[in-house]
Amino acid sequence: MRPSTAVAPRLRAAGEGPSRTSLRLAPVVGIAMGLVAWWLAARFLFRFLPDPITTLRTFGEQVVTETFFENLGVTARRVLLGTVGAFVVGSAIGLAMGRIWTVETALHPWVFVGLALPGPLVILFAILAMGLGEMTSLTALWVVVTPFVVTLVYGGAKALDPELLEMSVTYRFGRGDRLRHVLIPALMPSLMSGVRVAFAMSWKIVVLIEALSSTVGVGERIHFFFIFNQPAAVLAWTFTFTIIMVAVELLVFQTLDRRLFAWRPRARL
Amino acid sequence: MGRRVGKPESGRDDTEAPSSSRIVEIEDLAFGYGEAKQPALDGLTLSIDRGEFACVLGPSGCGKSTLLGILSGLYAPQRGRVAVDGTLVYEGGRRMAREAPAMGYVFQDPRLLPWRRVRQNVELALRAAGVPQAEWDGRVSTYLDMCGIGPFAESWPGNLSGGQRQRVAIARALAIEPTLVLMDEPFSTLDEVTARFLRRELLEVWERTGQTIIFVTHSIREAVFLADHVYVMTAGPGKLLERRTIEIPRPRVYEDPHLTEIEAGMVEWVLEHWGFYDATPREEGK
Repeated sequence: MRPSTAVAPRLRAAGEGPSRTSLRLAPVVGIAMGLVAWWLAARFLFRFLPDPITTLRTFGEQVVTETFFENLGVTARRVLLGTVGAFVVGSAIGLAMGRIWTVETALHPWVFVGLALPGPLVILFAILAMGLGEMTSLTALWVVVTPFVVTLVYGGAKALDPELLEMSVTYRFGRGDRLRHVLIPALMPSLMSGVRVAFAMSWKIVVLIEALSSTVGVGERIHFFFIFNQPAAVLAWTFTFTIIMVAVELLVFQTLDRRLFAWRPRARL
Repeated sequence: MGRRVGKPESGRDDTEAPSSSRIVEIEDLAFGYGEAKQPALDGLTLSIDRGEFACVLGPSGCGKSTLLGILSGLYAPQRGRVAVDGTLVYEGGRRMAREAPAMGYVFQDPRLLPWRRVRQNVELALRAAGVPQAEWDGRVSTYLDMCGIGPFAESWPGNLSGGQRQRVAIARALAIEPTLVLMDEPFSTLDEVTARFLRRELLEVWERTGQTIIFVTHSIREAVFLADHVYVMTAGPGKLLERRTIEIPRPRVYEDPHLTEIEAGMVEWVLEHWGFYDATPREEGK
């Protein structure tokens, strides 16, 4: 065959789009607008709400306390374990449900029960059943978060392209190749959504667990300062971990997105 | 192409070739999909010669694609005997050989892995076919170049046009140097100009490689242009209606009046045999 030169027409060539400057400025402008709105709300609408400067000052005071990094570290470890555990177990169950109808039939109702269970209820029952402790926190965390991951991965597994699977059978791909080059990449959007949801929900549930049952951690600190009516400290601790969450999104998840989905043709309208 | 000019056989079901020259032998093949009332194939018997360009022609739903599915191992027949390159693959509806001879498959759509580059798509097929890794680079370059897609080896499939993607699919099928290349209406989703171009290019590649190709189509023109023999199926359940030898010398020209003549005769003939003349015309006004 003769060399082909024609390239598919696209709406706009890859690489074109908003300028680098506007891409860099956009988040800065967004954050600045949010801070101004916060300041206005604190100044004129909600008198109990500390303004950004007060919160920042309180944050500085908390950072220099002896237990700051211990609290942060404990919460980070719990969020990490919660994310990894819920993601691994949830992905495996979701994939099995999507591909094996007996597993799907057996687990489908339980996943819905899991989705419907209120987080505080699970935490309280876990404490009643297992007492206070690290395993109690993690168990409650996994029970609450895993069904959400299952739902996302299950949806992805059900939507797998049967034609690509057929191709892999026709060309006699081994099990390993089929998993590595067909199934997992096809599931990757669902897996990425799953890990993001697991991470975000773990943080929310960990704060709740720590507030209800722990003697250490960001949630415990938030609860402590709430009881003593110190909203600036509550906000400072909330932002401490929120900043970490945003950093993980920007540095880890978005980098992964760029690498894993580099193959997607870019279409800009 | 000189070696195939003017085959001695002509007309309806022609001379039997010696058994050793047969690459595919199918006897009394039957297959039905679970939910369908009528089987897709019922009593199909045909054989295809080594190095032949065979076109399987039939109307939609006559079991053409099912036939390729059985040959490639996607479906197991309920009845019949299938032998490929001397290996008995199915007999009496039972699988006889653990591993059938390697086959390349070009689907209606390219079915490339969009998350793997063009080169990786071909390499995965090579690995699955057990080709030693030392040969991969050479094979990938050879077949991508042969299909005119060499400069796009490092591209993502999503950045190629439909015609380019189908060239990659053809290169993938040929690169494993299979016993048999199966093609299931590979140009039917392309625009006519691209399809014509690719048909001509496919013939050039086939002449260079000498591989046996079974090409399924519902286009009589396409079949007549490409084939050594056209295997005409019944309207369904599918079985062989006739094997026709196309005696037009190669290289062929798509606009050749002789081709048009054969096509016209064949259209007339299949209309009769596919049951279109049996349809009762609707009464006007009703």
